[in-house]
Amino acid sequence: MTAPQGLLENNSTEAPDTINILHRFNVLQEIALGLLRRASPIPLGSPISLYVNAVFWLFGVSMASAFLLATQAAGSLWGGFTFLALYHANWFEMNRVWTAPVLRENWSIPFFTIQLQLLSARLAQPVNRRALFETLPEMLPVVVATVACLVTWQFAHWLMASQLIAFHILYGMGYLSPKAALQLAGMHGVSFHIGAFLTQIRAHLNASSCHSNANST
Amino acid sequence: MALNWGSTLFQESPYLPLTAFLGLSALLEMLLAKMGMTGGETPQERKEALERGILPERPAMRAVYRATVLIGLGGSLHLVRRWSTPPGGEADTAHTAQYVHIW
Repeated sequence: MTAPQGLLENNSTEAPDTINILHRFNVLQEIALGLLRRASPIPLGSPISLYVNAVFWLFGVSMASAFLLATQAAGSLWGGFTFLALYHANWFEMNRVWTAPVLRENWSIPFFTIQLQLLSARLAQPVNRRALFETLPEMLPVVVATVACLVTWQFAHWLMASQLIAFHILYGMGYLSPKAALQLAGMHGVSFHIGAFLTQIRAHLNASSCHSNANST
Repeated sequence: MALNWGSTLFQESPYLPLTAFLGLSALLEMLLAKMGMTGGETPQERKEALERGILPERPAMRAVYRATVLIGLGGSLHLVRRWSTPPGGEADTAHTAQYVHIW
């Protein structure tokens, strides 16, 4: 059995049913890592060490963006250092990356932190004077981070729903202009559809084969 | 290409409706502003709006307006979902019957 077959027609995980792992679980990150390991010209070590290293590196990047976020919010470096001090004092209450690196949330939450940092940097700039389409290229990194967050964790859409509730409150109270609200809604709408598409790639490929089967029988 | 959005991993979450409400509400407000039916944002716009007989926008009024639009959108979607549930369908036939009774 080839690797793609083992993912797409897996009959050991939920035996006796044959399931499509790509459709059933959030494993795109493992596939990306596997492809990287196979395609890399330099040896990347054993699969498990590559995996754990990738998780910890990603978490490190998210700590950096959280530091930037705290610095931005406080308007001084002390905000960032206070965040780091508090985070490390409460390390085991704040995350589970150290004790259980394989959890889906350890892939998703770093991208959420990055998304929050990019968004808050974006919201700090005035948006009103410029046309919406002019601001679109700046939203691209936010879309990438949101999609990465959505496809790597099965509960990420609740995280995003809570973010949207916060946007609704900000908008209702007049802290967000209609233009900024539309831009944020558009960003989430685009990210949602890309995420839904990525988690359905196999279903999409199947659509044509089901159709041809139906015709032949 | 027939993607079944309803069966994605996101099906049970309020994520997409919340996104749609925010976008629609903002669009509606921008449209009303373009038609000159809101109080305006800059002092100059407010002055012009007042000359047309529209009161300057107050934060509390704007909050009430935006909340009304959001509740309206939410209520409409709720009704559409209830109405579109097929009789004997998977979800809440009792609720559908209740709505039919009310209407």
